[in-house]
Amino acid sequence: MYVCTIRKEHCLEPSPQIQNPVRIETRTDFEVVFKTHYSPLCSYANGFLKDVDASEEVVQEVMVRVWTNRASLAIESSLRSYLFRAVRNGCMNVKKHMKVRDEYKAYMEHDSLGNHHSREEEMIISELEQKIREAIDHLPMERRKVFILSRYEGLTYGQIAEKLDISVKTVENQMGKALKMLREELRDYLPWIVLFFGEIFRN
Amino acid sequence: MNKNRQDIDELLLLQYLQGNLDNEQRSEVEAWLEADGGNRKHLDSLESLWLETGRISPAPVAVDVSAAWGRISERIAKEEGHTAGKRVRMPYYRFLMGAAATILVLAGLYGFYRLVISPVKQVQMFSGATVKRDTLPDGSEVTLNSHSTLVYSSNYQKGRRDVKLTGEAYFEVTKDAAHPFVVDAGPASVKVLGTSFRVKTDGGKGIEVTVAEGQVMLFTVDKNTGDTASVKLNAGEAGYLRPGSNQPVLDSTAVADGLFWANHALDFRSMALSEVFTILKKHYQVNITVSDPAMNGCRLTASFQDEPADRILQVIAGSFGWELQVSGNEFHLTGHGCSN
Repeated sequence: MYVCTIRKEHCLEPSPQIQNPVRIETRTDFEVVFKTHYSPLCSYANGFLKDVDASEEVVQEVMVRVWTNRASLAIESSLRSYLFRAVRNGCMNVKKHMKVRDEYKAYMEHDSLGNHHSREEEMIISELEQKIREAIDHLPMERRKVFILSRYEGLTYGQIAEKLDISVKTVENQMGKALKMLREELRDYLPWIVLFFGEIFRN
Repeated sequence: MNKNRQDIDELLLLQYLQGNLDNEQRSEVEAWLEADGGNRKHLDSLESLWLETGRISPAPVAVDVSAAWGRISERIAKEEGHTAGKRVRMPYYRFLMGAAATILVLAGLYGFYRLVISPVKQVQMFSGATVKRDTLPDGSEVTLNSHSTLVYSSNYQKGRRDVKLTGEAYFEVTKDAAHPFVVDAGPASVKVLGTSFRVKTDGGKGIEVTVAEGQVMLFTVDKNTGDTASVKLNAGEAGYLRPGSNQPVLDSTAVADGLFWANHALDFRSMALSEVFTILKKHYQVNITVSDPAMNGCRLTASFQDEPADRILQVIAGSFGWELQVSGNEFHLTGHGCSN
């Protein structure tokens, strides 16, 4: 059921919280759903749109619809997969307006090579990935921005400093702290990774 | 130089892992590594952190969740305020809820069946009592008429655009010449590259296909011999496959109101006005009378989308040089036969 590319150990059981269908009855239920999924959904949308503001807008529209239709919402497998699908559809509609189909096509082609999460996988991410995403979300805002720009957009510290209008020293400082915090938070999940990677990368 | 694990600069270690250090800095880190067995472990965990965070795809984004929650809860509070007093409960509300629950349970069982037994997951869309509009993973739009079901598999986006339809649907297919879009309608299938068309699996003539734009192919495959039979349908044409037959048939006059349920489109092609009036009466609940019975035999070619009845009748009156009188839902046309 889980597609694992490199190591079987990655395919931990999805935590019950994200696997079980959730019924939204109260405002509190909705708040939990919102806060659990908001960031990963924005990240997912941003994969299509390459625009964080537009991505947030799509996710918010989906969330409002979820709340409005909560009584009739028990669609198919789980709320989580429903959310991801709805966000994808929302993005496709936005993209239609943006008329950047070529980029979408490139994404799909890229996707089908297996470099990205396939459709099956996007619904079921590994526990480790979920933990890493949470840990990143727990970083203070500026630190999170610095880390994401460095790790995922490959910007140099100088470029990050310019983009966020802070000094290079601050960028370095934030980056060091981000690494430290992430390591702290993921301490319980990282050791067994060492078993697999410690040797390979020292050669 | 720092020998103590707590004091080493994380960034220095990171740059060491990335091979960005000059010789002097590198030997500094290496000396630190030699100093204590625990230091090596420290580097390993940083390395695994760096590698594992790099695997996350799509990349995380820095969004302010509490601020977003603030905006959303404000918005839904406002919307609730608008609708709170207006909700009307129908007498059959409870019955509908029960029916919906039954459908959901059945859908759940079906989903369980697909998940456990089928190797490729399938996504199912069903419309229930209403017309439902949705976007497929490739960007194509589908409008599903009531009581219809559309199924596509989870490997849909990997070059295969196959869907299975029961009931009636209108498709607006995104152009992709390399990947044909195929609708499996049971005994017959419809294949296209990018166009708009309607398929009805249980129409009066069997399986019915109406093409709004582009070209589609309606085909059957004989299960025993593998032989195929097909017809090509152009915009404005229809095709059908009678129950029990293996040979799809071309019908050059599409059903004028075949797409009305989906997009309020009417497409009359040299159609006698008597038939046009029947269609208008059916969809607009209007009454139409003429001063001269010969007018009923005049032929109209025109297409409308989302137009009210009075606009359509104005166009008809205008194109034949007749006079139109309107009173409520009653329309009266005065003239003498066809002027053209």
